[in-house]
Amino acid sequence: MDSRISNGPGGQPRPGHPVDQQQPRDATMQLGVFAEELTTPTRRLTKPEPQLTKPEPQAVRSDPRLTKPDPRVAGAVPQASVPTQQFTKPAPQAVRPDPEPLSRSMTEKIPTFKPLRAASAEQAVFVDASGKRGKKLRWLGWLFGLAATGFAVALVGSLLGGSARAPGLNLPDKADAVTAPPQATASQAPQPKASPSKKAVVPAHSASKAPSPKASKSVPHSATPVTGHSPVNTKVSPRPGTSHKPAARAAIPSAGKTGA
Amino acid sequence: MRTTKAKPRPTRRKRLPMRYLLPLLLLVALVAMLMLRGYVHSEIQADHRVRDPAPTDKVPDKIIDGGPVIDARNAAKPVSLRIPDHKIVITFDDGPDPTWTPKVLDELKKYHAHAVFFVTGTNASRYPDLIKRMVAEGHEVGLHTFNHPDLSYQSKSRIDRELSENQLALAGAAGVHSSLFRPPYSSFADAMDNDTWPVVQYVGSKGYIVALDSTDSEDWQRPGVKKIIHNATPEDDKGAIVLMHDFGGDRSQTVAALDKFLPDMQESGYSFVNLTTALGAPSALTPVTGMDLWKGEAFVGAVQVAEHTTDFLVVGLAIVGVLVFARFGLMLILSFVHARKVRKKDFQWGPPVTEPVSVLVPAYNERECIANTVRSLMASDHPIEVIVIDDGSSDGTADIVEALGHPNVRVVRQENAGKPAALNNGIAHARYELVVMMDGDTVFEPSTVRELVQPFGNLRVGAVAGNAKVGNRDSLIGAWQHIEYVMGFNLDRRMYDLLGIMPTIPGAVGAFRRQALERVGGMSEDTLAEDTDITMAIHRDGWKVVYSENARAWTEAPESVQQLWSQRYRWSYGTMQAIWKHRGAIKDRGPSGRFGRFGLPLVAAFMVLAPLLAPLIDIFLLYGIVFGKTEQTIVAWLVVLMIQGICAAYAFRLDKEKLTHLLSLPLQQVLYRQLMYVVLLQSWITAVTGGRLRWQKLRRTGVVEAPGNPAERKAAG
Repeated sequence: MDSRISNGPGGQPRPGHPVDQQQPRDATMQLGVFAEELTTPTRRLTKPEPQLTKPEPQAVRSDPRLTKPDPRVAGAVPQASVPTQQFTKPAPQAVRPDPEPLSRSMTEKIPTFKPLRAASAEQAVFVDASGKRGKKLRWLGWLFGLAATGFAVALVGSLLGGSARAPGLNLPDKADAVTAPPQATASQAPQPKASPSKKAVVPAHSASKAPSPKASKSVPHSATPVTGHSPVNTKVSPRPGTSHKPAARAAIPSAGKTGA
Repeated sequence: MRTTKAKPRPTRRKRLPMRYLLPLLLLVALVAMLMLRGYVHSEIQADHRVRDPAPTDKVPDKIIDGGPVIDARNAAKPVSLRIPDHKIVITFDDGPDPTWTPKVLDELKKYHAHAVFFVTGTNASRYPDLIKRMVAEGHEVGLHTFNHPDLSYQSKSRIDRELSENQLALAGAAGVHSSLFRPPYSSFADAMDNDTWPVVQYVGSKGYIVALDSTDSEDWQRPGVKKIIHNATPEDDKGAIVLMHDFGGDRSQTVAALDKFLPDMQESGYSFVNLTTALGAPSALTPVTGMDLWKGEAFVGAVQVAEHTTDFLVVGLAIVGVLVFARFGLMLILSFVHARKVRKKDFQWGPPVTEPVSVLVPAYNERECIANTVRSLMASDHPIEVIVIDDGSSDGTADIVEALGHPNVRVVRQENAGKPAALNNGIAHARYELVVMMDGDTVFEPSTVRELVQPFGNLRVGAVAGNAKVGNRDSLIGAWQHIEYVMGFNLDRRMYDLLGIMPTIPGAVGAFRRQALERVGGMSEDTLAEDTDITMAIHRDGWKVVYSENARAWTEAPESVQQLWSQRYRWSYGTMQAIWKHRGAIKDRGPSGRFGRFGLPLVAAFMVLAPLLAPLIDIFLLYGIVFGKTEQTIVAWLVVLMIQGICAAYAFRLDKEKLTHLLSLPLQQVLYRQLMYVVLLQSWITAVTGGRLRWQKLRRTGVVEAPGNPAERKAAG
């Protein structure tokens, strides 16, 4: 059954009326506040002007083929296929007298509703039909995967197979608890004036005499004066001034003055 | 709700499913980094037990009576060594510390003193620069294990691991290995007992020189600078190893003590030297090359990466936490205000709206539901005309409607073109200014249409959102969605209504002014969420969009996980499309600008950002339970659940729903929420990579009034 509405929603009879009329209707006064809107639909109400980024559609059409919706044809589709043919002739529905609605609404005539051209999937937001963006991101994805795998390999590899052993260290030969003689301390005090101060990387070194201008005797036990130097350090730390004092005092094997 | 479907696309060729692999890989990497961070922060595997003193009968006397340095490398003949007179070896334990170690180093440099730092592997890997500086400035570095456990409790393999990882950290930090070792929780040589002596023996067998101490400054207790100095000073002119700390809290007293101790001792004739210097030995530090160096650097590098990345994670967690709680707070407060406002006795949107309304029902293969839908509409107490737009159904939907024979129901047939096209078609056929849009499987109550259009009494209102309810709420998945609709959607809508930023009018129950629809150009196919799109466009046009809580519509929620996944995929993808499409509103003026600068970011934050970051909550939750402080984590989670429960209960009360369905709320937090953010992630990936979803149509040539149109049939006879 078609929608030949003979009665209004409330059961009242409808006056027969072609839908496309231009004159404003008084019947809408009964709706009260909507009356002020009874101009052509393009007239704005007391609303602020719209700021649309897309072009406004022409809202009003006085189109004889009113009830024929052709939203999709509004965007000119080039193919002249069978579907378009049908729109050139008046739509079948227009032939039927369309019953009048019971009470007029604000739009006293029904404009042809022309929405913006419906976008196809190619124009849909985010869709990139060429696939370029996808390819770029896929490449980035591989990069990230590689980085993550590299991180995992580095971490796991570094933790595996570690040796708990200490590197060798030659302590000077001492039979038991030893207090090194004071002179040894003098020769070992870092002295910039000490002639061949061996700053080389010498992890294990047999005892050798350290020439020391201040010490009166050199001690057989003294080890290489790689004193206070780490293998990576190449500078001699102390200043001339400070090192002399303890050395001078130590050379006198007495208790020495105690400072403060 | 079933959308009007478009024809499916041909399948793409098979590729590596990166969209699943990469997120999984990312997740694994994040968890690994969190665990590494926890390991070097002593949260994982930390052992804080300390032994009580034990008998000492197994310890050789000469060790107990001997000096602070023990050379146990020869198991048969352990040797004890003293520090010569006038020499002090200052040692700093547990470092390096980013705050205090630099200060200590500065003091040492100022007085040209050297010291030994017994560092933990955890701190060495976190602050490698400080180790470099120690070595560069001539100090000595010794091992203090990796994680500072009491070694007397540990197995040999654990001790090996602690030593090797400590060396690894040193190698990575400064390119050296050390031969010195100090056991954690150690003290003087005469404190050696049956528990600690085997440790020293074992470590000695690995080639280490063990250094205990002669004087203990006890600076970690912060007794005051004078006391520290007093504790540290050796008797007469004897040599000593002094124990101090540069880590573990406020070490300002230590630094201040150094500033006095160093010059005072030096004036008394002491010199501050490295341990090996005092013993007359070559340096304990050996440079590392080759594989050992690379492994060390790889480890320290990994630790640095983990530390910095997890800092971002923590920031992300903070963001999502703030968003979640802000949303809770806003929802509760604003819903309360909204409910009070619309339920006041004399509340009115404006003059009552009595004019008739056009109800559009786009339908695609809804033969089971369409009759119910239309019948429910005809029971409406407001004057309406119904337009059923049959979107090329193949199951006779249109015929069913026509067979109902209602006078106010029209059927418009079209070839399958999708829901937006069907709605546009319907709008064009509509006779009245007020247009209600619903779905083919939605059931209205008699008062729904009336309640839905009353807000149009306010001339500023351009669109109204109704109250969609889940009909099939007794199954588990239905109950979850029921909770989500009542709390998530409807409580949200009250909030958005008051703020004026409603992002979506539900497709199942919404009303629009025809004028507004025309001005924004009707329903668009740019996005999969045409309801969100049109709502945002209407906002930007300057209209108000409100929520009518009494306009109830009953909809059928997806019952299977697959259907739910499909629905939410479309929703989240479509929402992101709509937000992106309208992003230009940020720069606009007037109402569009307000929506763009206030509404869009808020909506994006709550509907896109927060759900994307939500996995962090679960990651940290799991981490906290397994590795961190379990009880506190669980308590925190329960507190959040309780807050959610309160929100949900309030939402249910507002909607006058029974509270029994809330029982599935805890489970919803554990299963349903995760499903939702996996869906969101997938849709986000699709959005970013530009793929096409199967619901998106190919280019169409135009919609046709399908043959079989009743008028044509009639004309044909």
